[in-house]
Amino acid sequence: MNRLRIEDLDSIIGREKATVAVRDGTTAGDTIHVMLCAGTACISQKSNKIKEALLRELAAHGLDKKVSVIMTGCNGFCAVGPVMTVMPDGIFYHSITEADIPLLVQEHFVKGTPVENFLYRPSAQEKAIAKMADIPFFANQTLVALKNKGLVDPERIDDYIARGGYKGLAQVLTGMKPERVIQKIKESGLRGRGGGGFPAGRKWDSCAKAHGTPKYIICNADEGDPGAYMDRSIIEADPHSVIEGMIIAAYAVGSDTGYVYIRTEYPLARHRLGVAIHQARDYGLLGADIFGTGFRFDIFVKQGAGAFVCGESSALRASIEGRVGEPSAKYDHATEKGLWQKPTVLNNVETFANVPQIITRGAAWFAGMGTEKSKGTKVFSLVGNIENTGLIEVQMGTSLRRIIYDIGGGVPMGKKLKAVQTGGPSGGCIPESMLDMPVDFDELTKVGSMMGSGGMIVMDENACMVNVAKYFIEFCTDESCGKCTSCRDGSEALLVILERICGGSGTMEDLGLLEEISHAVKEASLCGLGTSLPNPVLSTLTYFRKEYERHIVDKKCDAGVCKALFQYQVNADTCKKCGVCFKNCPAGAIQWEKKEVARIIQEKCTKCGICYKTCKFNTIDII
Amino acid sequence: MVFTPVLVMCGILVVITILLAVADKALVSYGECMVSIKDEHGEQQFKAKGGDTLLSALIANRVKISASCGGRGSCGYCKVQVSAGGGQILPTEEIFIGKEERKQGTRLACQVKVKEDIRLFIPDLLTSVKAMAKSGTFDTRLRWTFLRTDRPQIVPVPKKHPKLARSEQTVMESIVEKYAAERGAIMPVLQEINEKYKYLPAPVLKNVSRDMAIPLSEIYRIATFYNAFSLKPRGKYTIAVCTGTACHVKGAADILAAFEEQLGIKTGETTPERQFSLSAVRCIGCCGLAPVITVNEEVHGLMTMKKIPEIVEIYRGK
Repeated sequence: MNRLRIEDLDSIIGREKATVAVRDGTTAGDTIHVMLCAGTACISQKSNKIKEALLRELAAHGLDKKVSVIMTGCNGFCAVGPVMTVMPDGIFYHSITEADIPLLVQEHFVKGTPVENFLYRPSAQEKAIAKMADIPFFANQTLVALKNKGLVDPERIDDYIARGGYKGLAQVLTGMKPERVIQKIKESGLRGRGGGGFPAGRKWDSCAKAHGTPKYIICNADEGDPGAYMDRSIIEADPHSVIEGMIIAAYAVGSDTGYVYIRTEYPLARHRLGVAIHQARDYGLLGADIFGTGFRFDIFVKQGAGAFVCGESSALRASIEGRVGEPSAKYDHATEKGLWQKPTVLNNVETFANVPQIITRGAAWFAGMGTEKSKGTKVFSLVGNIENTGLIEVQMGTSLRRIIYDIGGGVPMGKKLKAVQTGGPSGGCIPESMLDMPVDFDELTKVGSMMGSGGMIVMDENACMVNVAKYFIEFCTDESCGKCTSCRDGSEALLVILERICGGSGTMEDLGLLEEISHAVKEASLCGLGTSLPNPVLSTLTYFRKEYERHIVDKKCDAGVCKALFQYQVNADTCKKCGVCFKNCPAGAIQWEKKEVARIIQEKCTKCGICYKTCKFNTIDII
Repeated sequence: MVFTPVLVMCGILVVITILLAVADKALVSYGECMVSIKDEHGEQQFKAKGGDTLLSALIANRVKISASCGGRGSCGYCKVQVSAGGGQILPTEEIFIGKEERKQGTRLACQVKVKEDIRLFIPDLLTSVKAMAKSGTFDTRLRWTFLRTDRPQIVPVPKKHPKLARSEQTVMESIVEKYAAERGAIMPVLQEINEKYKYLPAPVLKNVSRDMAIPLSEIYRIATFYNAFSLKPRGKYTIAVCTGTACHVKGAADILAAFEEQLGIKTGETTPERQFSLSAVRCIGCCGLAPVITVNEEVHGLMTMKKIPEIVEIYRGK
């Protein structure tokens, strides 16, 4: 046991000062830190191997004393992984492989010249950008919850403390009454980041005032929305910020036990969280008598078992209690009768990650960011048909256009943007025409979508909106727990109609029926899953009704997704007669001779789309 | 007279009955027969008048036997096991006497006429009820608990459980033990079993149910609700194709279909040699690398059709 006293925080900061300076790029010393991304995405691209190769090469050049390699959490720029940043200069390298390392070490670390090949280029024509801070993807973000991403080793608690970590906790435990903490969170205007957007301060207040002990703190890390991975990245990059936030919440409401409910699909995040909790216990930041103030609190990890609905608060609690994860009616607020019928605060990972900084930097600072009713920043995962796929954090109220074009770099291959889907399966699709709307809780709800946990899926002209609606309904049909008839059978009924439309046998009456069923499901379901599952249908019906009508009346799917409603055809005028499509067709449905225009035999075509994707000259049309 | 034929018929019947009774008395004489009884208290013998029913002979000699209907053959309580004499079983007894009892020579004492020397055994009904209660097939306590206000703790009747191999038993017990102190322990217990066996084997679940005192039905409900659990054996490697939105937009459906073809199984199935299982999973949060698959916990990103055979090959030999 190395129990920390409050003074010890400062001595750690003092000891690690040099390290922080290097990583912040504020020193011109000799030491170099290579911050290599070790998020799930980059590890799957072999960043562990790259680390070994780096260490090997550096040792061979006798540089291993001067240069250290640090495995960090998710950097956010997942599209070009594996990525690394060389500090203190802030040179950003991406898409590196093990084989590139000798050259990289030779050029950069021995000779001192950045290697142009691995630097970021917005497009082939433009000049390479060497520094991370200059790359638009990074430059346009405001980091709060992700403040430490790429700057700390998530498995080393001293790194977190060196950057001011646990200072907020010390401040709370020594100088603030619980009511004052709650007051501060209220003043900051922090709203729950899990989707609902309920003011965190009010939730804490109601739990603090509730009768009954023990009280529980639950961190919801059951991030099930497809296309969203903010929580995973926060835990992988900076688990201590979540732990600190939970301890502060515990102090504010008077709880002594906390749970983190984390998805089974996130092994790395679970591992890092386990390590972080272990280290915090070792330092006496969890357990009895934290900082010698007599306050006790401990955190336990509960693993999910692959049920989307368990992200819903009452289902999540049922799952922790060892029951089937079915939502239940909320006659009582969870803050009064939650886990095991005791007062419980349940917040999302990102919400907790924001808390320590609100304490140290002040409620006014936090409230200074964002819009009138949505304060602070929000982390989004920007995925789908977008150039810079990755994790971003921007101020609330930033327009979609800015997010997609300035940070995300727009839609690849010069295609047109069609819609942005936010809020996961419960969200809606926002058409291109509304890109200038500011993104915050209320604005998104107004247009029939929602903030959700922050997934943002960009779709280009090749996305069929009917199919997208069908995809989400299919998801919800699968994941509905089956308790409410409206949700269980309603989603099924919606799916049947959507399949009918995609299959070419829809009628115009179906559209009315879709709307009617959607409203019924919304009205009659118990939990958030049921009440929001028709959103994708309703929002696509509102903004893309023409597309539905084209499927029904003309029996055409212009995007080339619904297989029954289109054909591939070679454009004889532009065909370069290269035969690539002929060679790649797995169904043998393409006729081609040398110097002849290729022809697709419709009877044999399985519409797999391989010819369409492999044709370099875009001569295959969807009709 | 309208009643004449009826009266005539009645008269004839009465005459025949009297004739038969007289004939029985006058012509047939069984004389005195010896009845030997064996019961819990030992053996005894007495003489009985031939022609009486066995029940009346027993009662006359103060042998304890229950008979609530008084010898009409309607209650079925006066069961005795006749080992010699007594004749064939009568149709009036058949409804009371089961197959097993018939083999033992069980008869209703009220229906047996004493015509010859009889040897019989009177089973103690109370003892047999006690034996039943002990055997565990019938719990006497269950029947009267509701009458009592201070409900006694019903001790679960031990049931037969599938025997686990000793090593498996210890593994299972250690898992249960590990989470014993935790509330809501069933989830982590199932998770660990699932991880160890790659599925939830029925014998193990039955033992978990007993050891944790959670009904098997409850465990079954949990096991079938969560996607992570399987009741069917799974392969050494589970290939999970992400079908989250980002992967869907980038063609996850084609990737899944290609794996089905490559492995020769449908989604949710396992190859016969139990090397691979194929499943579709909702978003593993690696959207930057869409389309993505995982093989057990390893992530493979930016999947293409070309990579599929390669990946299958890597894990086939492992």
